[in-house]
Amino acid sequence: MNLYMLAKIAPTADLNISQTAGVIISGLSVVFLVLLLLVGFVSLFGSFFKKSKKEPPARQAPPPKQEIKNPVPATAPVPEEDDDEIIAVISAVVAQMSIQDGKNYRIKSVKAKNQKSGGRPVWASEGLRQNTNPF
Amino acid sequence: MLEIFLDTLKEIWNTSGISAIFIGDNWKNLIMIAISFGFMYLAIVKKFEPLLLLPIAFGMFLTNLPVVNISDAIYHPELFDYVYEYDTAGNIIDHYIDYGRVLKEGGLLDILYIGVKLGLYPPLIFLGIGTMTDFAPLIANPKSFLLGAAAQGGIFITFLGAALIGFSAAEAGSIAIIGGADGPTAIYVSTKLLSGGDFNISTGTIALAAYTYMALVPVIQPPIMKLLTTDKERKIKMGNLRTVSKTEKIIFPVAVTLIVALIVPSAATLVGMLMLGNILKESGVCSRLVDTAQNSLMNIITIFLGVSVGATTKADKILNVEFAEVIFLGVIAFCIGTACGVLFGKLMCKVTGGKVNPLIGSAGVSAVPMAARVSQKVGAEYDPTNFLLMHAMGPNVAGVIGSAVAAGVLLGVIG
Repeated sequence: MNLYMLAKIAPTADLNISQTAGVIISGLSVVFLVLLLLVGFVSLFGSFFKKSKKEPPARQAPPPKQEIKNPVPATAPVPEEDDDEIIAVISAVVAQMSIQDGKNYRIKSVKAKNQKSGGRPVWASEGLRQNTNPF
Repeated sequence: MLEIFLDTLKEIWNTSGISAIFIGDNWKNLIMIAISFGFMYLAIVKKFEPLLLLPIAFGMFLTNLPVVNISDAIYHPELFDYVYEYDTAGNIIDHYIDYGRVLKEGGLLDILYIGVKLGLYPPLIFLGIGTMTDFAPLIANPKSFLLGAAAQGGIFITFLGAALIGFSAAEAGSIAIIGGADGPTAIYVSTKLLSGGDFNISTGTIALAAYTYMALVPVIQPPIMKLLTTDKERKIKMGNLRTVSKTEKIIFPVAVTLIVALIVPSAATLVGMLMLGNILKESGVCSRLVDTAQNSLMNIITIFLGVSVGATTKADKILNVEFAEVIFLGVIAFCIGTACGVLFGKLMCKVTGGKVNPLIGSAGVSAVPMAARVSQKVGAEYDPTNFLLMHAMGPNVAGVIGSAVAAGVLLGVIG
């Protein structure tokens, strides 16, 4: 559809109802049509790129096992989310509350709430919260 | 000797701006100067879009300084009046602006205003915006385009309001585009539409209303967003966006330009320059051009655009009922645009089974990145662990494309 095919309205013309309705309907239709086309196109090439990404890489021979003659004592593996650290932070906050309120609180248990966090670790979420807070 | 002295004093008084205040309607200029001080206050103290509002306000101040001789004025709108050519029967066969006369007789602001009149500055600003825009959230979630389209409802519904009040087609189109919440687009459309006759509003009026309301997005939008959404909807968390490859980011500007230009050719200038800026950035091989476009060029054009648009706000064009009506319709346009975006967001929420937070719909009114920040802020008010910013950036940049397309429609239909 080419807009130049629509009847032109003179800039100085007073608008009647049919002209106004024509501009509103054609305007909204064209905006939605163009953006729907863009949705379709971007979805199409998006799915193409997603597919090409998912293609499995060519099999490679496993690397030969290396024997370590004098193993160095490794440090303990660091879990993605350190539960002790989180519990320590929660305990500190509760202790602070206890001082402020003048009451004694006891932490019976700490359980992860079953909710979506966008798949982010707790510390990543907290970092994101602090970064977006100024907005 | 005394006579010469007194004559000199008299001459100085007669040609001074102080005596000019008492001639005709020049007292209105004092009101305009006071209004310009108000806008300067908003820009400097309240930080309302200061980069453009301050040059506009200062342009308004300069153009309303009272003068006795019109040749002493800083801006001469009469130089931009059309020159008509007639045939032997007295019929108009052609009309044009005599830019040669502007260059010969005009001052600095007249010459800078040529860039507005020819529609050069807004596309150049779009070039700079393109170098600063990341379309990745939109590419990752293309459905965001629909929110950018829905929020343009404010433009067309306000067009109806302006028509009912009695504005002409060009005036109604210029007022309606304020709802796009996109300053350069509003200036571009109003300059093109309001150049073909004697109108009661000017580009300066439209620019003032557009930039003031854009600055007021954090005040105008939240009540509407809260009114139209439920507590449960506001707390919806959206999944992480996928990573977008560099190839996709390079194809995107070419594809958007092609599709928009083929369907709405009158939007090609704005969208084309936006996408040129974006491909310069995403290609990664034009860092010098990107640096110039997003810094030096953008800053120079912003100064030229702001001060010359501000200069069009002469008292006789502003101090009238029409200005109040533009201000009123402008805020209506913003509110309706926000409401349309949020309501479409609710629809998408229902259709997707609750995967879309309707709050991101309000970001479809352009005003990048302010509107997206508002979505983030309102969402975080109800759940501090909810991060809507990146999701809102999709409709936000889609709104820029959507408002450019809407502008193209208005320019295509009226003229």
